[in-house]
Amino acid sequence: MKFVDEYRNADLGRALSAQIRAVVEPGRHYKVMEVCGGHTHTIYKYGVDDLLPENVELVHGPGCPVCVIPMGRVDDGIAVAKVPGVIFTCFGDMMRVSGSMGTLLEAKAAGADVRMVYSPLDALRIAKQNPDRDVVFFAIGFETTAPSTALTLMRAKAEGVGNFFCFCNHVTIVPPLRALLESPDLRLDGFIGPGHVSTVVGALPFEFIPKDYGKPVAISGFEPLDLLQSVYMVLRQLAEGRCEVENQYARVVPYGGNERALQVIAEVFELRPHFEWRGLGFISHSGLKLAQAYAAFDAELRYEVPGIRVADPKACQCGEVLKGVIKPWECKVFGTACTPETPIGTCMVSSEGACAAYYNYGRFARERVVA
Amino acid sequence: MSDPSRGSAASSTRCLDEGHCITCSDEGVAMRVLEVTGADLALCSLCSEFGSEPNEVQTDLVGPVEPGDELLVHAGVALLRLSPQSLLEVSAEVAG
Repeated sequence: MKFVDEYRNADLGRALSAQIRAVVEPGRHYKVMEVCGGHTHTIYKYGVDDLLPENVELVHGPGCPVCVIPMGRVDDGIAVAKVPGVIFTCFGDMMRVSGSMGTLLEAKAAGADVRMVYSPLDALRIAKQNPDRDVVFFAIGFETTAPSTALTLMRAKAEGVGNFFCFCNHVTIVPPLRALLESPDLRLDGFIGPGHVSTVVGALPFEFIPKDYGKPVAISGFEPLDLLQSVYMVLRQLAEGRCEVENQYARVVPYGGNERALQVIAEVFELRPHFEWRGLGFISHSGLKLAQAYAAFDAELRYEVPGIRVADPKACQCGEVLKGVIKPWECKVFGTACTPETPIGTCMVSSEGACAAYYNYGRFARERVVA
Repeated sequence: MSDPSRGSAASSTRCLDEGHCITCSDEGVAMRVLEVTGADLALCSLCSEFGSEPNEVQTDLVGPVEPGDELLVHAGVALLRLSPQSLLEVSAEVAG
C-alpha cells in the first residue's frame, strides 16, 4: 500500500539497525521506554526488538488506556450498566476488562443492556433512537480520544439530547510520565513519545522530560521503520550528549498540536484533583471529568456509583508490567491462567497491552534472536 | 519486515488487523471521505481496506472536507488531514 509499505521495508530496517549499532557504546545498557501501546504492538508484530543490539532494551510504558483503568472504575461502570432502563455503551475491549465482580460482558449476559460502539457518536445516535431510555457512554482514552467525547457532548448539548450521559475516564499523558520519572525503581535512558496523542497535544508538552529530567525523547510513528528510526534518534542524542524532544512523526504531529482539539477538550472537561491508575496508584491532575457547563451529561452525578478502590488480583502483576519493572513473561500467571481468551489483568485484554503483544507474537521467554 | 500474508492490502490499522474495535486504544486510522453527510459529518471508509464498511466521522477539527480527502481518524473524529505530499517527503527521507 502506498505510504505504508515504504515504512516496512526490510532493507531500510537493516540499514537503520546498523546505524543504531554504530551509536551505542559497548558495555553500556540502554533502557528506552515506548510510552504507547500501539508502539509495543508494532515492536512485537514486526520483531523490531530483534533488530536492536542486545544492550538496548525496550521498556513498555503505560500508554494503553484499557490497561491503566483500575478495577474500581470498571465496577462503577458495571453498577451504572445494571441500573434498570440504562443502555450502557463502550468500546469493545472495555467489555472484557474485569472488575472485582466480573466484566461488562458478564453483566450483559446477566441481562444488562451493554452495547459495543465504535465511537461516542455511535452512542449519541443510540440515545437519539431511544429517547425514553438513558444512554451512558463509558469514555476512556488519552488526549486522542478526549476530543471525540468532547465534540459528541457539544453536539448532544447543541441538539438538546437529554438522555445521553458520559461516564468519564479520560486521562492525560504527561502526569503518568512524570510519575514514572519520579519512580525510584525505574532507570530509563530515554523515551519514544506517543505518536497519535501528540497529534492533539503536540510535541511541546514533552519538553519537561529533557528539561527537568535530562532524558531524550523522540515522538514516533507506528510503522516498524518509524520505531527503528526513533530508537536511533534517542540513542544518537545520548551518544552526542544532546537532550531534547525530536519529532520523528513530523508527517502527522505538529509541534504545537491541534489547537481546535485542545480548545474542545478545555471547554468540555476539567482536571480531577487526582485519578487512580492501575499499577501507578493515584496521580494528581491526571484524569478528566466533565466541566460544570456539561454537568447535566455527567453519569457520575446522575447515578450512584460505588467509587470504591479495589486492589488488583494478587496473582496479577499488571502494575509492574505497566511501569516496565518486569517483562510480561516474568508474571506468574502470564500465558497460563492469564491469556487473551481469559484475561486476569488488563494488559492481556487489549491487543496493545504489553502482555497480549508478547502472547500473540510468541514472546514467552527471555531469549530473543539478536540480529 | 513486511507482513507477506497481507500483501498489497497491508494495513496500518493494527486494531483491525486483530479483528476488533478500531477505537480500542490511542491509535488513529487513515480514512477516505466518501460523502459529506451533514454539518461537520462525513461518511468515510478505511484507506487500507478496499470496500470496508463506511463509518460516520466528525470533521469539526479539520474544517470542510470533500470526497477523496484522506483523514487521520480516531474514535470517530478526524484529527487531521493526511497529505500525500508530506508522506512522500518523509518516505524519501527514510529511504535516503
